[in-house]
Amino acid sequence: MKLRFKEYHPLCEAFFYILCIVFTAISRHPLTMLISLCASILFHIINRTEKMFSFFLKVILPIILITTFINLLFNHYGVTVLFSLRPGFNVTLEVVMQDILLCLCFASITLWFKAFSDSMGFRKLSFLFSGWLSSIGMILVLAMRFIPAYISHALLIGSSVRGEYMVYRAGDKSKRSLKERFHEGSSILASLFDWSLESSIETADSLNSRGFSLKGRTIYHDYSWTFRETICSISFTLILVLQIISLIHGSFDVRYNPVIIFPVTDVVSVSGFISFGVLVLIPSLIDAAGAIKWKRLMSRL
Amino acid sequence: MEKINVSSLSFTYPSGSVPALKDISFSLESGDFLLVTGPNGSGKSTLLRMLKPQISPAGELKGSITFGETDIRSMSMEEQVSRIGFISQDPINQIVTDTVEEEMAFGLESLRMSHDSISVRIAETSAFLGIEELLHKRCLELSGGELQLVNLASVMVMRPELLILDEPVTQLDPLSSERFMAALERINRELGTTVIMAEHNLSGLLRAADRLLVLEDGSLKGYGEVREVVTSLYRDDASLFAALPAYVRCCLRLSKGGICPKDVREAARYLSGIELRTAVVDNKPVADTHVSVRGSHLYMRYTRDSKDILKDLSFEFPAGRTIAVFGINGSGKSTLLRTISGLLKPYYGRLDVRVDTSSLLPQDNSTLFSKETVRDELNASGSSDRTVTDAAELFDLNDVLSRHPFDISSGERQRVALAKIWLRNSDMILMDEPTRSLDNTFRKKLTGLIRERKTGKTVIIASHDMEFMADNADICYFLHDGKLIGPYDPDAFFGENRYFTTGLSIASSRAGCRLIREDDLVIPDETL
Repeated sequence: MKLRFKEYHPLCEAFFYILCIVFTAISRHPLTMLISLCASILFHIINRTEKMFSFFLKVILPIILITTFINLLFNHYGVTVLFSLRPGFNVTLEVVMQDILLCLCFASITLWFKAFSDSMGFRKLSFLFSGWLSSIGMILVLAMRFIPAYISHALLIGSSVRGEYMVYRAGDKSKRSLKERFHEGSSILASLFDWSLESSIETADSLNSRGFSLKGRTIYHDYSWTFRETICSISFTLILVLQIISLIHGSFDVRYNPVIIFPVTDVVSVSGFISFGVLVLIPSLIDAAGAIKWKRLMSRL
Repeated sequence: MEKINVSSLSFTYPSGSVPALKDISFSLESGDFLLVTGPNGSGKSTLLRMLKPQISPAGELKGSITFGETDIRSMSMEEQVSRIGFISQDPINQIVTDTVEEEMAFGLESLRMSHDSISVRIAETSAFLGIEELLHKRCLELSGGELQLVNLASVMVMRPELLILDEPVTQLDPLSSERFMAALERINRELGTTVIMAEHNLSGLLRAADRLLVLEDGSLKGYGEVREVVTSLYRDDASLFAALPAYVRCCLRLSKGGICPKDVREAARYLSGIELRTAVVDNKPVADTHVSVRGSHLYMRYTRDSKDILKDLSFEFPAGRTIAVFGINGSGKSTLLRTISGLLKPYYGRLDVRVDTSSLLPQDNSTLFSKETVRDELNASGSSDRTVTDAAELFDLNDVLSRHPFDISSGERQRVALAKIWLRNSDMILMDEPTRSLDNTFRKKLTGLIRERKTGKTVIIASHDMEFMADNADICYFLHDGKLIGPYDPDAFFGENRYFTTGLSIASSRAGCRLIREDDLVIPDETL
């Protein structure tokens, strides 16, 4: 029984996130951005993502501020001048609109990526990769393991090198020169390098003695593909087709230079927006339905 | 029943002029537990690796190894994977996946087993080894002892007929090592798996083993039933006699080779039946009021949100003494040493260091090395060529001077680390598990070196090695719950405790007088 979207098969999940992020990124229509942003916020609210506020302050807000600043500083195209700081330095409606679009786009993509990384942990990713190419999956797994190990070992080397000879007399506590620091840093790197080579020999032996080189490995996992995943994937595929049609039709093609021109609203573009809306709402709907189902079950007990 | 037969095996490394193994022959019944022992660099690892051709080093091999009826080198890759398991020294380097469950599944995936069979095997093996609660944990979060059990489980899940272990407990603390050995003994006794294990320190291992193989410089020095071989070590006055636990040595010496106990219980039974005489050793140091380091109300934690590792810790260490710090795993012994040396700053309290210099030997000796050769390493720490030559002599490093520090055995590496600390000639020496990977012969020598060097110098040792601590300690402290309890007089400390004490002390507790170290014992008319 799967009550939440993140319990669905990783392939199905990955399919969703790829569609959602790609179509948010390539659209130039503010409405798509708005739908995507609202849906991503809704998904995080339903999922009760912790520390959302600090994530907004630390990640999203700086991105928005930097984009706005750069955009307003360097872009002066467009005909509808809002105000002028000095001759030639115009702030136009077109640039402001484009800026708002970019900010919405960044915010929603960042939020989707956050949802993606929260759910698609290391295990699911390595499963996805090992299904394709086991050696790539293995490299990924080992790399993820080595990076934190290297960092903590480098810190250990640093303290061992200093601890080997500590001088407490006041006179000798003077600051080390840049050359000495450089020398110390390079010896830490050399030591780290030797250690990593040495420890990888043992890892290679362990891989080898447990038959990594044998052909045709099976993959042990506890992800199941049920009727739900089939339904989800069929819906995603239908939406993908509708989105491609709308894209080719030019429904999301808003022009900002020299004047803002929205594409005509017709059946194709309406179906494009609706299907996109359905796509980005699917995870929230699954989670909400699961929550309601659970509450009902509990109340009947 | 399968049988392992090794006949006139010799092996030479491509770079070596002398063979690493010389004409080794022995045979083993299925279900035997063989312990391979010998000093650092005697060829134990090389011999073990010969028994699993997949990971054998390159070189010139003579002689034959058969497993049942088949030559081990003609076995297919798949057969080697499923029938012969191998575990090496370092717990973390053998891990190849993220979670314990995946780690256990890894070998079975290679053998193309179905999902259901893998599930059952994992459940069964984890229940047998008692690591069910670890199954869904991430490997990086586990302690060394737990990781080594996971490594054992990941190999045992493939149901090998032969299990080879290359010093699996050398890097573990005694408690984890006991847990590991208990699991290994069960595997041998209850599953009938043949076990071949190399180890240079035999404390606590004799009981599990059926047979003992002794290597020295690549040659076979003894092979047979454990008691026979141990007794022959005593009779031949072999240097490897020192590798035995003190209670075994005492019983052999007292009975003139008649009694060879395999565990503390057997030793206690023998010692309680005879009259013991203790030597009156006056090793009480003269009173000295000079303080080398004093801490008052120290508090230390690693991050603002974590809990205190040291809390309200106060002490006063006198100069010129060896201070022994005991404590359970994770009690903060390493943190205390690092705080005293100045690498960590307590967030509250006052630390008053009254010596000029100090040197700290870290637990992981590989973090000290960054040079190309052992000679360069020693030169980097020593002040003159003469002292470096002396240190190489003292620490038995002359044979490895031109080799890379990562290219020598773990015991030799620990000796290089100790030599580097020694060469610094600091006023205060702090050592974190100094005897890890050292063979007994050198452990004895290190005790002598510490005694010689002690005048005026403060030595602080944190270790689980009770025999070494009993030989060296002037003052004992117990670190628990962030506080230092003590000081204790060593004789009182070891006499009182049941776990933090030597095997000899437990074995002699029911005899008339309590022995703590081998030197306490007077052997009537011994001609050793």
